[in-house]
Amino acid sequence: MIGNLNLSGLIFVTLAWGFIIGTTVFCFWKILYSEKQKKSTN
Amino acid sequence: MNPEKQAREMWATRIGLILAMAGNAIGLGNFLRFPVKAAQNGGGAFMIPYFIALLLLGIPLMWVEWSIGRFGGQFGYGSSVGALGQLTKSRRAAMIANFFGFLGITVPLAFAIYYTYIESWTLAYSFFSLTSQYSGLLSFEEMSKFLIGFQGKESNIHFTGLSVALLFFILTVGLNYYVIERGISKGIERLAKIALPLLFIFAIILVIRIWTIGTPDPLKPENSVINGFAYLWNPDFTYMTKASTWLAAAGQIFFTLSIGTGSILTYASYLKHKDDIALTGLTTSMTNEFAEVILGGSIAIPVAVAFFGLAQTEQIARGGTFDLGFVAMPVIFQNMPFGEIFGMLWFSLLFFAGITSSVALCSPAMAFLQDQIGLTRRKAAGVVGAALLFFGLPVVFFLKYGFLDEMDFWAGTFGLVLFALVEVVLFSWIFGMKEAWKEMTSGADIRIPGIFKFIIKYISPLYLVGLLVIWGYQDGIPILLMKDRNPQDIPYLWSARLMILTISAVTIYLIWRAYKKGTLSYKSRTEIRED
Repeated sequence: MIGNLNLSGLIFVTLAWGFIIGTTVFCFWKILYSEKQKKSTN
Repeated sequence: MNPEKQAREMWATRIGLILAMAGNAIGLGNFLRFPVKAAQNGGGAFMIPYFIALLLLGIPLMWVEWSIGRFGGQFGYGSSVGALGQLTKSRRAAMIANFFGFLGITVPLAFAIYYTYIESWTLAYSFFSLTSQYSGLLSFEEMSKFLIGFQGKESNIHFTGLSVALLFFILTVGLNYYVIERGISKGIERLAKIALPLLFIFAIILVIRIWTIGTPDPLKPENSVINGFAYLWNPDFTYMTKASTWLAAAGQIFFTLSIGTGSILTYASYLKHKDDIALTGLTTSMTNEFAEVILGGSIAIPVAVAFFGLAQTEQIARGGTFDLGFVAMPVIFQNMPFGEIFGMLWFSLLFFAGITSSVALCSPAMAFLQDQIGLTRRKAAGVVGAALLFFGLPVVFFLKYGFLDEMDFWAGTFGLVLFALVEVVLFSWIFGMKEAWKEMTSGADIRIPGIFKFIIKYISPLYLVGLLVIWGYQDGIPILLMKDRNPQDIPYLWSARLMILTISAVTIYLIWRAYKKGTLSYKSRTEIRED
C-alpha cells in the first residue's frame, strides 16, 4: 500500500500507464524509423 | 469552379499533422471530464471498459474517419459532403449519402458554437488568475458565486452583467477566426506546433507541483495527493456489472478521440493518397490517451482530495466538470505559493486544449464552403466566424435557461454518435470491407491486425447502435419531452433546437446548390486528383 493506494490500484495504474507510455513511445519511434527509411530510399 | 483541378492545401510536415490531429482530440474533456467519469465509475475498474471501448470503438472508428477523409480528399472533397458519396457505387446512392453528409457539417459547427463559449471562460479565467481578480475567494461557495456571476446566472458583487463574458467570447471567436483564416499549414498546423508543446509543458509543471504538495493540512493526514490518486485508481469491481459504467466509458472514448465530429475526416482530406494513416492515426490517439489518462488523471482529482478531502471531492465530482475546473481548482491554487501563476498555467492549458479543438470543429464547414460553394478561404472564415458569433450570442445570454445543455445533447452527444454510425455503415457495408481495408492499409507504416476487419464491420456499428438506443431511452426521451424542466426554460430550449434545425436547413440548401452548380457530384475512380 502507498497511502490508500492498494495493490489492485497499483496494478491497474501500472498496466494502464505502461500500455499508454509503451504504445506512444513505440508509435513515435516507428514514425522516426519509417521517415528515416523513406529518406534513405529516396 | 472545378474543385479537383483547384490545388488543395496540404500539411507541411508529418509532425505538424500529428500535433494538429492530437490537438483536435485533446480538449477540455481530457483534463476535466475523464477524471470525473473515472472517479464516479469505479476508479481503476473503469479502466477495463475504457480500454475495451478504446480497442473496439475508438481506434477502429478513428481509422475509419481517417480513411474516408483521405479517400474523399483524392476527389477534391474535404468534408463528409462529397466524401461519403464517393463511398457508394451509383449517382443516386451518392446523392443520398451526400445529403446525409450534412451531419458532418452541422454537428461540428453547432458543437463549435457552444464549445467556443466554454473555451472563452478558460481564457477569461487565466486573465482573472494572473490579475488576481478572484483573489481572496478561498471557499468553494465564494468561488462558485464568482462563476455564477461571470456566467450571468445572477447579478452579484463580482459581476453585474454579461459584459466581461461577452468580451472574452468575442475575443475567443476572433482568435479562432484568425487561425482558420490562415488555412491548414499556416494557421491550424502552426497553432498546433505552438499550443500542443506548451500544453504538455504546462501540464507537466502542474503535475510536478501537485505531486510535491503531499499533505497540505498536517492535521488531516488522510487528505493527501496520493490518497486522491488512490480514489481515482483503486478499483471497485462492483461497478463492472453496471451498464452505466460501460456506457460512461464508451462515451468518454468517443468524446476524447473527437470521433463523429467530421474534423478528423477534414484534416485527413489534406493528405496524399500514399500517406500513412494507420500509424499516424494510432500515434495521435495514443498522444491523446497520454494527455488524458496520465496527465489529466494526475491533476484535478488528486489535488482536490488533498485540499478538500474525499467526501467533498466526491460531491464536487457529482457537481460536474465545471465545478471541478472553474470552482475547486481556483480555490486550490490560491492556497499555494505563486497560486496566480499556477492558476494561469491551468487555465491556459485548458485554453490551448480548447482552441486546438474548436478550430478543428470549424474545419468541415470551412472545407465545404471552399470546395463546394467556391468561397475564398477568407470569405469562408468570415462566414464561419460570423456563425460562431451570431449563433453564440444566445448561448451566452440564455445559459441559465439550459440553452447550452440542450445544444450539448443534440449536437455534442446524439449528433456525434449518429454521424459516426452513418460513417461506419457507409464505409464497411456500402463501400465494402474489401475496398475499405485496401483504403485503410494503403501506404501504412504498420500492419493493422486482420481482426479489425471484423471489429469495424460488426462490433463498432453494434456498439454505436447500443449507445444510441440506451442514451435515447435514458436521456433522449426525457430531454425530447422536456420532462421536469422549469416552464420558463421551455421557450429557450425550443430556440436551441430551432437554431440547430436552421443550421441544418441552410447546410442542406447549400448541398442542393452545390449539386446544381456542379461542384458536387459522384466521380469515377479515374478522376482521382493527382498529387
